[in-house]
Amino acid sequence: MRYAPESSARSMRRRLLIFLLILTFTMLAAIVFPLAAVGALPFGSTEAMLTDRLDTLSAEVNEQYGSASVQAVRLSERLASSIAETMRAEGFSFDDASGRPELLNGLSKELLPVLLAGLDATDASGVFVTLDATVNPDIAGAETSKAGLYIRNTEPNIGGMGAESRYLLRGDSSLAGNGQLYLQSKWDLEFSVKDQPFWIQPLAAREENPDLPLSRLVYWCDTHPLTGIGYQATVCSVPLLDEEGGTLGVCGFEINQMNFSRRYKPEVSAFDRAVFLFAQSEATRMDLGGALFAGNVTVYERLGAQGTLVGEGDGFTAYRTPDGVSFTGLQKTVRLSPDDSPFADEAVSAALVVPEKDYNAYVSDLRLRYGLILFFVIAVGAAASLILSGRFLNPLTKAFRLIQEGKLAGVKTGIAEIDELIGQLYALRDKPLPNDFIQGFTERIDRLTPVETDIFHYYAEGIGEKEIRLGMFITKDALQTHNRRIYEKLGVTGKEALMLYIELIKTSGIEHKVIRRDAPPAPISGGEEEVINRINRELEESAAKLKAANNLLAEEEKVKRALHEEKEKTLLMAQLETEIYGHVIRLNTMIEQLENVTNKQKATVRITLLLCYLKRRCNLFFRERETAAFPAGELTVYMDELGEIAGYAGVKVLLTSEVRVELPIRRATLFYDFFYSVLYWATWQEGSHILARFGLEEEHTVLRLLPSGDAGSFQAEKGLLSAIALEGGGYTVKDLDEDTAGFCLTFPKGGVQDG
Amino acid sequence: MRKVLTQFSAFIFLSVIGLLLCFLSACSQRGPLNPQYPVTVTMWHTYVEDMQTALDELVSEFNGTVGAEQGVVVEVTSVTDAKNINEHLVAAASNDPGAPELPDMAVVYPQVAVTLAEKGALADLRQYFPAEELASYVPQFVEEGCLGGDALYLLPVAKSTEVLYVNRTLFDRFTAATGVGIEKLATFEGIAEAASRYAEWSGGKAFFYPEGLFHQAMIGCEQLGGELVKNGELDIANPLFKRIWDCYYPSAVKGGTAIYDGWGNYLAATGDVVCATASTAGSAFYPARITYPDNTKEDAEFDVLPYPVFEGGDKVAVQRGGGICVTKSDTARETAACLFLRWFTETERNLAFCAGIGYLPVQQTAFDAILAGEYPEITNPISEQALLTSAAMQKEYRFFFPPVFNGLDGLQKHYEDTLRAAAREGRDSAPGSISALEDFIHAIRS
Repeated sequence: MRYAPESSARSMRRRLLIFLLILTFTMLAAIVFPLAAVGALPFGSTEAMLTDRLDTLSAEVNEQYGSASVQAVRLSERLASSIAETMRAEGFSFDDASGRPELLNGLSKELLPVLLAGLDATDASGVFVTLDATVNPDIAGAETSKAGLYIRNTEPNIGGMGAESRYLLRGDSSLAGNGQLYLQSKWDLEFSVKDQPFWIQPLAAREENPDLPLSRLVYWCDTHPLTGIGYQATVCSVPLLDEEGGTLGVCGFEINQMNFSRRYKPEVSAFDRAVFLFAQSEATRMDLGGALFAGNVTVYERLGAQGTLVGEGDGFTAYRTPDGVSFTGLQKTVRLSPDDSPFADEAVSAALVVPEKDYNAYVSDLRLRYGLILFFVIAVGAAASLILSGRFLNPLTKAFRLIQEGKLAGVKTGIAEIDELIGQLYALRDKPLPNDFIQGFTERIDRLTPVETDIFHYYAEGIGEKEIRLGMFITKDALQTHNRRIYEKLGVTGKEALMLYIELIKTSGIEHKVIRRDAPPAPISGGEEEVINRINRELEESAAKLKAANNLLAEEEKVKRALHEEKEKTLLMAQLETEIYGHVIRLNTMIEQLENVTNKQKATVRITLLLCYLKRRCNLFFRERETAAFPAGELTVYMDELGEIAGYAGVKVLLTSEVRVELPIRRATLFYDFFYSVLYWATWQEGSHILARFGLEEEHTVLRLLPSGDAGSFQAEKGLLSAIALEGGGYTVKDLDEDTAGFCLTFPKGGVQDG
Repeated sequence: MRKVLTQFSAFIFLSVIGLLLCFLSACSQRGPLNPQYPVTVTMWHTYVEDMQTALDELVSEFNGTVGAEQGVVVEVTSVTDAKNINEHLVAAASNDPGAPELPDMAVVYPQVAVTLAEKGALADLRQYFPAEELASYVPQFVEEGCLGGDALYLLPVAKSTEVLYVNRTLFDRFTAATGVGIEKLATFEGIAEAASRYAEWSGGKAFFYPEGLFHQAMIGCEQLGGELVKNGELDIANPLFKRIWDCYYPSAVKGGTAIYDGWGNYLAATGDVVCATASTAGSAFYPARITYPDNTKEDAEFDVLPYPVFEGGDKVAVQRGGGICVTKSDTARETAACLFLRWFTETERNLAFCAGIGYLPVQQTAFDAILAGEYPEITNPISEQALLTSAAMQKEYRFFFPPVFNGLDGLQKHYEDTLRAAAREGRDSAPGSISALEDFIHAIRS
């Protein structure tokens, strides 16, 4: 028996699917949220990415520029020492150098190695020394023309390149071409220091702060010391002091645009057009006039053309150029001078900016990409959940289905626990029920009489007491009596216990052993008036059914006639009219004449007998079209019914049945017709008794009836006899003495089960 | 439940298929180059000063445009002279200890390219430049890049020749004083004669500096119908060589020809020479003003004349200018390098890059434009003169491609060092020219 689940119940697969989905989302959340918390996810980390890169670049700038400042101070000290030594060797003082080209050229030769060593010590792109002296003090502009050396290294980022990358921009040209230096095309002999901050600022600071050490006098500017040199650079210069503290000039390093751009590539993978800027600034306003930059030159050209770049706020912000071009980025102040330096207020900022369009596009793309990835992960997780739940539960659902269907033999699910459970169930199926419990109960069922057995089976089928009473034409007291005997014989305390045993039998899988599936339908029973009313209703229903059946048969006849089965169906209709319809007419006549008869009791019994007969006959008529066989036990019950009703007319019937097999239903119908016709006849006899035996004799199924009284007055209907003959049966009347005769109806064995 | 599961399954299936299609479409965009994963290719070159600036700007433009679109980043990792590049390239290709990693592209001359090709370090550019594309280049330049074989190892970028730079300011002063005309500068014999007169007139100052002594001798032999280098060796016993010797040695001993190991523009910047043979590529380095040792300055006007010819000889000049080679790496890097080279040598860009610095373009259409006098504005007048002179020489001169073989550089250095040493010795001791030549020949052979 299969039980429908409650509507609120969820299937195992749905539960497992929900569980796996929750697990998937939980794992996803467990990964995503911690990563988001530590900023490892790209959402919102673009700013952090740029910030980190700017920090790195700023730190590198700080390191390079700081190192250059330190090296500039050392260079100053070494140059001053070299100048002093040279002057001493030549027998001059530095003040005498102006106007002496040979002396200055000789000095340049001495200073060159010091400068080259200083250049090698840094990764600056140039080194210079500008002396407060000139080759020719007599020419125009001599006061701002200063002797010295300026050497540019075209490959400052590559160590060990040597002379091949060094160019002489200022100084004695004979220093070039000897394998040490190349002469740059913009070479000149001397510096012009007119309005040059690199010369003016550190010397002025020295004059104003004579006690400050050189390290505090390093001056950074974005104006190149060489006018018209053609490239942008930032330069640090530091005073050159003699042993007495007098100024000899300045020296320092250059970090030019090429050096800067190769060294400080933005390398922000997400932004090809990022630009790193290094420029003088005031708050969030950057002066791009002297800025160095690295990164996308096209973007920088657009920026540089504007002259200034103004941030809308601190930190990560939007930048607007005067012509309204938008950038996104951030800037950071870089300190090039110590706090106690005269140049501490010179503000320089490093900025990392990208076109706002690029930034927005990247962020949108990033969100879309990670959204897709997240969606993909969820989809894969959900798909995996679906597949896994299905694969995991398929064996279980299959096993449960097999268990429900009772197909346990040889079932293997591949799941050890389930296979073990099925094995145990299968073993239990054939095991006897416990002796002290169900087995004894089932054994006691055999003690019940046929009627009690029928009642027990009705209970087993779930039929209620009222239906049993009405069906069996027995009173409530009679049923209670039967019940009491049943309880006693089966050893149960009452109805409730009986039903519990029946349920146990069903759930134990041995129902087929103890409960008949072919239990007869509940017989009609009940009080006289109630029964008559009920029979009338049923009769009317039967008449309606018959009428409907006639209509159906009429319709069917048409169809079947069209299908060349007219003859067979005509016979069927004739049989129906002959066998059933005639009785109905007779019943109506009997009912109509009931008021006029003298012995109303017998008349009523005959009507009842006929009603019972018609009811069963109708059943048989319809069963005949549904099945080929009919249980002999059920037929016996039918005949018992008739006998019991006939008893109310004074006809005592003693029926014994030995037939337990199924009969061909047509023969069962003929047996029943014959039995009814004899009983009907008997109701007209006074004090009639009938001994009836339904049994098997040799190769025949036989119904023998031995009525008391004048048996000779019984005459079987011709139609019945024709039907018996047509079915191959035989009807005989055997005279036993003058007043006694026996009726015998036989059919040869054959048919459904007894053949 | 079954219906819900079916719909759910369909939703998931379609989602996964959709995403797979997205990924597959993304993958389908991946060839050798992918903008999502840019390939960085390195480059070594010899372009300095204005040329370097011009190249840097072009590299930046490429990286910001075509490179960004196709996933290529060009990075210049070394700028130095040819000698240094050659040494590093050969060392890298030989996998010498401490050698740098080979760049993806390098500006090299054929002599070095031969060495690199023999070591299997160069990619055959014909794999990346189909024949119809190469047809747009000047054929003889492409031929030179083949190094005598079928494979193309050097893509021409810019070509130069040698010309005579003349400080017209000084020369006119000399002419006014001595009557030596500018026509003397058409031949080496005339230059030698003028140099001797100039030395006498100026009190020992140099008049002429042949920047490439080896080239002068090699081209001189070609002009005179001979060969300086035969079977990989110098043929200085050739009688033709004596004419070359006679044009150099006596003048050098007397001081009229500078004995110097450097670029001619160094001497020109200080007025130490009046004229010099040098590459058109050096035009940007010649000054517009002379600075004398006393820091006085004088504006100078330079003329650029065709390469001198030995009297009676053919008009032959050397074809100079290296090319850019692509080293063997992987398909993506080689493709990336060639993408840049293709972009870099497109006609308009090639014309703009070359013309401003005195080089001849290598695209035929750009080359023809120069010959027709159609070129972009050139700010440096000396470079413009050099370009015009070299264009004029294309019509009258035969251009000689120096032989390409391993060891040529060493041969060149040996010749020039020995010749300068002989000249210095001669200047100090003033021996007879005949014995000096014999000594020189002996020195070369030893």
